[in-house]
Amino acid sequence: MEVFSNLFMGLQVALTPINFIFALCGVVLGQVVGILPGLGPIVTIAVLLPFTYSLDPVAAIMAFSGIYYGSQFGGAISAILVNAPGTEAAIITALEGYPMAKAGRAGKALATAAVSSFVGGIIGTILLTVLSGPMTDMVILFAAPEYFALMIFALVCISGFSENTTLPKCCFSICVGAAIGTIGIDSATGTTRLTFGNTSLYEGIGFVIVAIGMFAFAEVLRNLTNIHSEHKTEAVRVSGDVKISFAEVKELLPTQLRSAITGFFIGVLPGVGSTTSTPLAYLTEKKFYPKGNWGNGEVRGVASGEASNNSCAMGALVPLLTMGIPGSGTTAIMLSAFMILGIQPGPLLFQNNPEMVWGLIASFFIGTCILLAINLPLVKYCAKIVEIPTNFLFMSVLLLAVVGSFSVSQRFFDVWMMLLFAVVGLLFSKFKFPLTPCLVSLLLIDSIEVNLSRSFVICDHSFQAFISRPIVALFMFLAVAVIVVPRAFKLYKKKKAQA
Amino acid sequence: MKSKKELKQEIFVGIGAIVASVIYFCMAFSIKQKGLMLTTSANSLTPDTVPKIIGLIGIIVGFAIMIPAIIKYKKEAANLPDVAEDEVKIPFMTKDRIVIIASMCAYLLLIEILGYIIATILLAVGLLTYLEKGNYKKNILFAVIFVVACFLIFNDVLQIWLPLGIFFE
Repeated sequence: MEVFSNLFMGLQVALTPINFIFALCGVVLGQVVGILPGLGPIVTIAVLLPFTYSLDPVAAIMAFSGIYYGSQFGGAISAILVNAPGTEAAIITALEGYPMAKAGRAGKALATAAVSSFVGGIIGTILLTVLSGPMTDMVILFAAPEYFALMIFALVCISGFSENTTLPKCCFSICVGAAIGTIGIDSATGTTRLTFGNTSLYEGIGFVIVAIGMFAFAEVLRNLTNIHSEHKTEAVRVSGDVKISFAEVKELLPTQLRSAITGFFIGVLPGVGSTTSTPLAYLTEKKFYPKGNWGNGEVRGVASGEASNNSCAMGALVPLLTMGIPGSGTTAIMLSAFMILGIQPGPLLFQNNPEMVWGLIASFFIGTCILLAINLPLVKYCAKIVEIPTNFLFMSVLLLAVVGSFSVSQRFFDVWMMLLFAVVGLLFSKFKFPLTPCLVSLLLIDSIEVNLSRSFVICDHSFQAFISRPIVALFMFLAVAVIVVPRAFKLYKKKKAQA
Repeated sequence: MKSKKELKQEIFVGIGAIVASVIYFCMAFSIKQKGLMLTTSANSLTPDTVPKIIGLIGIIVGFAIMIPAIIKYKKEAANLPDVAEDEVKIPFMTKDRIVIIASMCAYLLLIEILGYIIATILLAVGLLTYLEKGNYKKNILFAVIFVVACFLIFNDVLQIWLPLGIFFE
């Protein structure tokens, strides 16, 4: 019952005019950036962070969260109509939705995507609401050694589950982020570290500068090769009404529920996002309905992909809100937004600031309903967004990146640093180093150092005392398992195939 | 990895990672603790401990990138093509990227003299025209509206003072 009273309190906060307007702006903007291939929630939140310095924290966080889950809704539109997923999470939607659109069933594909996104979003938010209480009750018992082990576990998960790269490259990316994080004055001792006497580096290199450089600016530079060819994208016309009958919704509901639940729990794991959850949900549905028209416009494919990615986005917010641990690039930027606005996510947030956190959770319910209301009747107009010239969009990101990095400390040194990190971001892409581990470790290194230091004192400088703490031992065991088990399984499969 | 080129690149990346980590590791030794530091719950580590650990891990990871690539190169180089047929080329510096980065450097050098509005409009119009020639009216209109809106929002709403330059001060 406590959950309901908390949620009711949250609804009161979320429905205040200013919070409602910000949440609405967030979801609409999220929907727009989700539709636009090349612009994702990471880029958008990174360049918009400086706009929030003087805003009300609750309203600003609601807007950022709206951008995050709104983009999951929007990604489906360009995936279905242009075969260009606006977000990585919409790749599966493109696989089944685009053939549907080509066959003259664009309206049905879009309606299915909207309803499935809604179901996924609502299921994800319900699970977030139910699980956040027990999670915070557990995490609040953690002392420094447990926190240290938890953060190491999160970094190991991000390395272990990263796709399209190797484990050593992920670890090196983590080292780069941590190395950047050690620059500046050490908060515990007041010693300057690696500043070379440059006073501009005393405060360290801000997370926002690195995020804007490596994600936003570098993303524009990475996409430059597409500008000449992509700016006149033509979408498949939406023929017929964008609607889905009640019988069809009922038929798709088991698919949506299964995919949403899978997506949510995958999203909770750090480093595992919708790029894993959507194919998994899709493959599960393929096994449930082997006679479906898979690959040629199967409506269940669209439903599974959308329900899964929207629920996964909510799942990723669980470690962020309850433990203050980001599991992806977007949640890392959201965590920095929390910190900039003077809010420290974690178990104490639920104790000290329940209006804010429950208001945020309530805003997810409201935002998801708004997105459904936007997507069903207005989707034809939303589709026009894909036709916006790419060069104007990218120029907007470039200009916002400059002014955003300047506004961090009102000095051009930060803009030069941002430019430097854009080049570093390009180098990372060139040599296939993942960006997310770098960003997450940059954000966590300060806490890791503080908690390691405290752990030494608590455990009397004894490694044995440290590792014999049950929760620490559990996290360390899980960290080893995350690295060893998938590789051992792969090796076993390879040997079995050879035999 | 499917080609000799990719394996060579991996070896090069590993060496680069080792060199960078060794430099960082050596720099960590230059961190000098200020004055007498009491060991409390907040600072039981010296300020150079974590940087040294990071440098050391970086060196190990660099070897972990390089050694498997060397072993694979020695074992399989004879059977591998120079360049894989389906290799995805990821460029580092293309002409477009060089133009944008050089323009940005020039812009940052000029912004304090010309001021945010003039320098940014010049940058935006220049780059938009470079990216899509011929669309001058649209490009100028977009640049002026966007830059002026940005200036007004930051200066008047967010109280972040963007440079006015020598012409407006």
